[in-house]
Amino acid sequence: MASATEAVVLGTRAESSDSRHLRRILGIVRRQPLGVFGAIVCVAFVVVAFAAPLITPHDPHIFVGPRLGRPSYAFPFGTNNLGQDVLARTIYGAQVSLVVGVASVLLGTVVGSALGLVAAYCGGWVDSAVQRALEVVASFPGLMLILVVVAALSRPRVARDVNLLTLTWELRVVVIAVGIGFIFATTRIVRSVALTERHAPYVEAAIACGAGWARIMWRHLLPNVMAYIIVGVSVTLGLAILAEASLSFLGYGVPPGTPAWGTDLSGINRQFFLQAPWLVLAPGGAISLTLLGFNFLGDALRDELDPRLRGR
Amino acid sequence: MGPYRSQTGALRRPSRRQFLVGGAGLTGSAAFLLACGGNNNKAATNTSNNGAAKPAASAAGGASTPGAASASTQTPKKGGRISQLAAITTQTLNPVTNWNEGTILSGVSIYDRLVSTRLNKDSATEYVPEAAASVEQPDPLTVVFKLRPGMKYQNHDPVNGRAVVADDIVQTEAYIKDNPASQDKSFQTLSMDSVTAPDDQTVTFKLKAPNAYLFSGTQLSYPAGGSIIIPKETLNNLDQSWQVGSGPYQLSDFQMNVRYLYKRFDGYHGASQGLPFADEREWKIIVDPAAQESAFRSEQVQIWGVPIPQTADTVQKDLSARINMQNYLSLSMVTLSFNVAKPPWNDARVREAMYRFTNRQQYLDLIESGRGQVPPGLLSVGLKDYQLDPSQTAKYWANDLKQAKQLLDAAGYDYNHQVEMSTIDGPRNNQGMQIFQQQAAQVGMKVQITPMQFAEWLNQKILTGNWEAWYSQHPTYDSPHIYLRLQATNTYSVHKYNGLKDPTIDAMIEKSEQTLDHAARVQQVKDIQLALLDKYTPFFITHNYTAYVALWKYVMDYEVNPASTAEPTYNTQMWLNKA
Repeated sequence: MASATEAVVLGTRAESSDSRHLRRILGIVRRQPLGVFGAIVCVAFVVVAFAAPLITPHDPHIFVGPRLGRPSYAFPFGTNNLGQDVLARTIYGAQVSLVVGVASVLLGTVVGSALGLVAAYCGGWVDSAVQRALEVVASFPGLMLILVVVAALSRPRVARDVNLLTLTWELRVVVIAVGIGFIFATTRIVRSVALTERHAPYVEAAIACGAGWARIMWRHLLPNVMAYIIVGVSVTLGLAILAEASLSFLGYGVPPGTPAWGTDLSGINRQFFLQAPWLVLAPGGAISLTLLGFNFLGDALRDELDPRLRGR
Repeated sequence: MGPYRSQTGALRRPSRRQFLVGGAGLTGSAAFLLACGGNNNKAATNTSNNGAAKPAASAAGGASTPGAASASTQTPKKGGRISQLAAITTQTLNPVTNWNEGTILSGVSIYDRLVSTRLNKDSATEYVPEAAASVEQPDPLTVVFKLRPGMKYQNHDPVNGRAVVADDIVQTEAYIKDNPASQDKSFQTLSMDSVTAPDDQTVTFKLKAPNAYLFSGTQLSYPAGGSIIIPKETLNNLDQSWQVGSGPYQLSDFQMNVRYLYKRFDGYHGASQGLPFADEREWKIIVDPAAQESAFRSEQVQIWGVPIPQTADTVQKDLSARINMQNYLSLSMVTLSFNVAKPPWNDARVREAMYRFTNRQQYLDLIESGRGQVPPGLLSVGLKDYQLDPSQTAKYWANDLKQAKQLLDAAGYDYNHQVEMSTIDGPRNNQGMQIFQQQAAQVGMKVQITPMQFAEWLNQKILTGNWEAWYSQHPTYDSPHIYLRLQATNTYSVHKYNGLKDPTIDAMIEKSEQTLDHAARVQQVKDIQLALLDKYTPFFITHNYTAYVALWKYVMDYEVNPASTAEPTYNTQMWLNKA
């Protein structure tokens, strides 16, 4: 009987917890409609990238249609100078953006967070060394730094019809080049938050209990700066996608022929923009929409997760 | 040995081209003396594309300048600045080691040369003495040039306006031969045995063997090597020192890879005829096609080699009343090349499979909107005399994907292999690689494409042989010489690893280079093409494209030259018909 009562009580608790979550989500939807829109765009972007082979009407490499064909039922976004389907290329272009965006932000976030935590926790000359080194890197204009890294490590080569893991490996130079740019910003954010947390009572208590520096950083500091990291990731993902598109637009990203939004905005396509504006509208629109999505999502996450903004 | 067919006496409109050394190297087997002395008579010889000599007047349309796109009947006006566009880069100021310096910038403005090549729109060739007052060939192995009297250099350190002497040419030839970075020294290494200066006005070349292409644009007329005249004092620092020559213009100002300004040199040997007509020539280096179009439309430049046909159509439609749009079949060959030193391309079955799946017409249709031609054989269509009959070659180019797959299977081709194809980054080249990638995919061949900057491509790939395949547009050549030489074991070029490298065909190529009789050589060159096709050479032309040059209408007497990648050569007779 007691157990039955317990079950009823627990059930009630679970129910109330579910409804709390639901209410909270509905509250977020009401408070952050643009954030929700951004989240939908971001999810759609990821789904499109993963499901590209399943949802594209044509192979993006094959010359399936007439040269510079106008948008039609068969080719809703038209065709390019080689008769390739612009819709298929735009869908497949999401793969490059996703791979570079996620991998480079992951790189920048992991390295930047680690450096920020170490600098904040250790302080002294370690902090100074990390800060000065990163300031040197940050003194380069972002795009120039990316170009220098790509020039030093050589431009990527991309084979046709590869899966996302292989694509990530083949685009490693672009990932590194773009990711390096995010290390400085992440380090600064994480360091500034961790410096405050470093002297919090729970950290002092952990030290008093004999916890090692690694445990303190991993188990105590990191969870408390995670909200800031998540907000940073959502914002920088959009920037990473833009950086990749800029790099490809300049001809230093993925090689020609590989479907990528930046590449499809440059090269020979640029010479047909006046005659075939659909060549610019599709990849350009995809870049804009995705950036908008990540920006809205980032703003919403910041509003929800940043304690200073919470409740405003 | 065929007789010399040097033609003289065709009077041309007054210009510095007083003598035309017609088809000399191509047809000469006996001594020939070009009009010399007296009143420097206006003699002309030209050849219908690299071979048969014929009177200049008939080929060049009578009194007009060869290839003059807008030959006027008006009296040329002196003065003004002619601005042109180029999408090029250079590394130094050296015209010998930098192709673009030699063939577009200083090599055809600041420095003079003994002889040059002119082609008209139909690729009929003329060999024009520039600094040479006369050319004699007492025997097939000796060429004697007499310099024009009174020539001098521009007044700048360290030369300070001194007279041009024959020893300058001797030293320049030695410099080209000994410089490992010379863009092309095939004349100096393959053909030239010695060069001497018996006196200040005479230069004597001794050849190792008769040279069928002696005066062509790849030998003595080659602007960046050939017979360029550089003052000997400057040879040890050509990369960086101020350019000083005896050509029609002198360097006035430059910002490397941005802008070059040349001003008229009054001491130029053509100055007595009023040449050059334009006071200044300016080159603006703009790589971006959209920026090029803007610069032309806004008249910041008056001459523009339009990169793609569609843009030419648009510009012509918009500005039709105010511009002239020239078009001609370029001699530039756009080629596919595979390294036979590396598997799988050393297997003739793989090469044949490549021929089976390669659709050359698709390259022309997609890249050039069908404007141009696909050669029936292996040489540019503009080299008319050497063209094979399509019926002779149809079997080699036949498309058959099934057979291609069978050939690859028989050769044990590894379908997981990624063929690494590189190119010089550019719209035409990049599209060509994509087309090859797509055509190869039809038989399961995987191709990875890599566009590179020219210097990077040259140094990392071409010079090292560390390449598997490339697709690229070439400079233009006015004879079969370079294409055939690039098939040989010894290319005498930076492209050491190119072509088929078959000893039997090597011997055929060498023989043709030394055959002065035009008809016999034409047959030999045709035989070589068939022999190369029989072995499915890994180096062939996909197409020749139609080139477009846009000019504002007041640009008069612009000289079209299919052998100069759409850029005119000296063009001293060009003038501006505006206030």
